[in-house]
Amino acid sequence: MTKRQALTSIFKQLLLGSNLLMCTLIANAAEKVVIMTSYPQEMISQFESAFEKRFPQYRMEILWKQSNDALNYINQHPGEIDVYWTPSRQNFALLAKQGLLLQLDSAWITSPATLQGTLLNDPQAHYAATEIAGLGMVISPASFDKLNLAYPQDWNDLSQSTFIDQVAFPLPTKIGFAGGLIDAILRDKSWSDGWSLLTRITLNARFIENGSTFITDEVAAGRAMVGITMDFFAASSIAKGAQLKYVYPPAVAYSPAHIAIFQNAPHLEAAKAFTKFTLSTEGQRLLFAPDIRKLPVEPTVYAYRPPGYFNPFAYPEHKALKLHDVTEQKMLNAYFEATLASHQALLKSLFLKLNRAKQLNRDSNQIKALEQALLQPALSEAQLFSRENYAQFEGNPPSANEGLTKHWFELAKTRYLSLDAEVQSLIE
Amino acid sequence: MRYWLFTLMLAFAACVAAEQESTLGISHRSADAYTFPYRGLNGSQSLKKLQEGRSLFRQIWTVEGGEDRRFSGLGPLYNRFSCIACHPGNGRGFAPNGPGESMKTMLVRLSVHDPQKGFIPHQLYGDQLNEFSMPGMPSEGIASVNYTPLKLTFADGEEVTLRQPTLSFSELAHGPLNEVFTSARIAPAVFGLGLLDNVSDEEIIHQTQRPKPKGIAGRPNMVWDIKTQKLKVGKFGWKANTSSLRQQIASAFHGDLGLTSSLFPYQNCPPTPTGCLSATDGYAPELSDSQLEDIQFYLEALAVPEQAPPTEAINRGAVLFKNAQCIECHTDQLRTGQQASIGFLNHRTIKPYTDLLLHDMGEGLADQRPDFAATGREWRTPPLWGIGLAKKVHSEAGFLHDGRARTLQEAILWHGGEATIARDRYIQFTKKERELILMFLESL
Repeated sequence: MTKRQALTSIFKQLLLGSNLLMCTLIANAAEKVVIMTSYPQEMISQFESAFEKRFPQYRMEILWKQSNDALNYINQHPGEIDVYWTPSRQNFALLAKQGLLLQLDSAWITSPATLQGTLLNDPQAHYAATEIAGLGMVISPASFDKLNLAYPQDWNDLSQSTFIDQVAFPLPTKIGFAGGLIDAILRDKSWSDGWSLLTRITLNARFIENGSTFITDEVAAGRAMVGITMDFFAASSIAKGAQLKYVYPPAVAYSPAHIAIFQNAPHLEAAKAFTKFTLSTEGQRLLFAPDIRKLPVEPTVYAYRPPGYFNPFAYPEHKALKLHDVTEQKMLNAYFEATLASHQALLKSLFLKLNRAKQLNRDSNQIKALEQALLQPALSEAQLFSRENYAQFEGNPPSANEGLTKHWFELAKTRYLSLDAEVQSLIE
Repeated sequence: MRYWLFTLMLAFAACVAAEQESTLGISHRSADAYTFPYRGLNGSQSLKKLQEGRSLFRQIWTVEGGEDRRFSGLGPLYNRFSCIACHPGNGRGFAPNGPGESMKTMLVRLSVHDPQKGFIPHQLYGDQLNEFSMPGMPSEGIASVNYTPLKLTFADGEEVTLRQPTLSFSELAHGPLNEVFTSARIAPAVFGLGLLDNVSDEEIIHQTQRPKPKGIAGRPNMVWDIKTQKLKVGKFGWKANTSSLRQQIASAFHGDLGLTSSLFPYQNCPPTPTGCLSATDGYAPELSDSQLEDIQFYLEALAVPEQAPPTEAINRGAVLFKNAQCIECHTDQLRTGQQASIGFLNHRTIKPYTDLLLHDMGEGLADQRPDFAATGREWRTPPLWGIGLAKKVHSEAGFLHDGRARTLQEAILWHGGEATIARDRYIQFTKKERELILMFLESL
């Protein structure tokens, strides 16, 4: 028999064996585990593949909900979901408060309670941290090298006039991952210094208002020299070949994500298996995948990290910082938008006029006083976080705070226009 | 004077050609290689549409309404919850490696034979098995794949083991799939689609008239175009069963995610009272025309990765690819028409390595499930451009319609029918020659 005849014979056999039609074989059914999450597809796919390989008796079923919609759905559909797995600490805290979460086996939770002041795990073990993400800056080294500029190291560096229109800045009220950004920039600074820095960064910012563009794209395409973003977005792009570099500021703001099992989980054993899996070494190591690049919460897992992977547990300890809670962060974000981002054009024009006054050698004391006035926040820390304001924001959707934010907007506008009149008189 | 004028014209023509060439192709050969738009795409409107389209393509859709209705409407029945789930990194999908793994980037098409109407969707299951459903209602069932190993020996004695898939089903909601024709399909890569969409019917028909070696023919599939309400040449799908990119997108949203659109206004529910229809919130279409347009624009704008720089080995592999007759169907020259919304995709000569025609691929690959004019043995020549990056984009990327081929070599060995001579020549090649062909394919 020639090779060709042998081949023909094999393919004739295939005809008999390849009968894909009219198949009615019955395979064994796998028990499902219903997981509510807001993770992106890449994260879900990695865990789905690995979990099913490890536990072929279970099958993941995803119910995808944004954090804003999740609580409503959970409350309206009791007994439908097994596991909640998502980056939204406030939701976990609320669900635990409502008594809806099962207490996890403490033996599963091996990560430390806190990371540089950020609480990782629920002290009552109703939810446990599964991963962390850090907030920092992505840059294109080539664009800096071309101009012979030093790479930024801290948020302060973003106020340099070199970066005018060059800082891709996700607007925290519009882009979910930037929820802790204003808080992060204010950390380690006095109220006055913090808002002064935010005002100067606003002058350089290119605000990104929706999630359809990627901050990493803005930088890689040369539309911005620096982009403020979560570490995993940049690390994933870099792992897949992008010529970018990520810079962590000295005091990193971390956002932990969590997992919990519902008290009335319909598939309890499968839910336990999945939860335990995400907290295991095997599950934690999945976070190193190029498509994910999140930071594991289990310190020992970093022994397996790819070269150059950031290890938050080995990063220099920063002094204990006062961290704002989620409601306070929302207030900071709304206040930032109402008093700075929304007036960016006016602020830019005011600082241009002040520069003009300097060039014209006008009264330097007056110039300095006007500049200082522009850099100061309209409200003190105590005024912003007043009990009334806090109550207005706590647990309410953004629409409920429109009146207050409008008031802040008008307050800032009046102040800027008044200062504009003074600056104008200086250069005339 | 004439001489100078002629020289100037030549220089101008060269500049235009260089400019045009520079707008197509992307030199990235990274894991993100399938995600870049054409370099020539600019303008804030285009970039906005591109970003919106990309966002929608990556969006995970959700059941019922929420704060953001733009992304709700998943189901009642569905296979996956995002486009990117089946097209990881915008690349091709893969098959489960055995019955213990679920279908993550693959689905099973279904049809039954009606003596009067021919091959039609199943009355209860429709034309594909939806493995997931909205909470509270049953899904249609679960499909699994079993493999039988199949050894082949090359002329030089080297052995290779292929895997022969067989489907099985469990948890079937409407009873067993007796007398049902089934066909497993992995998701294809999604770059370069703007160029293929812009290849005219005439150009595809012209491919049938090219002189070819004995035994190789090829014919277009003639399929129903919803927008024009007439038969047109099919271009997309493993059996070329869809005539336009827009319809292909809307069809995938309808069949795979369960989202209605203006092209597919009805929920993908069986006509019998199964609770399926009442599970929806009546909000239609779930995918708006503007969302459909944005996704279409995004996919039209995804560039084809440029071929790796030629080396002597790659060039020798290309010659062997031609000598083995692979080039007869995986043709390296097609001309685009003038219908593209992105102007610089018009009137271009492209190298997709497909003639977009149906070819008899033999019994080994046959699914015995006809689709419009395509028989159970016929498949559309799949484009090979960018195929060398498939494993870089996703390490599990599979080849052939059901992902049975784990490597390009396995895919070649499954060829039969009109490609029998090509496959046999590959088998007769020396190991070095086989390596050269694979190096050529991996350079694409």
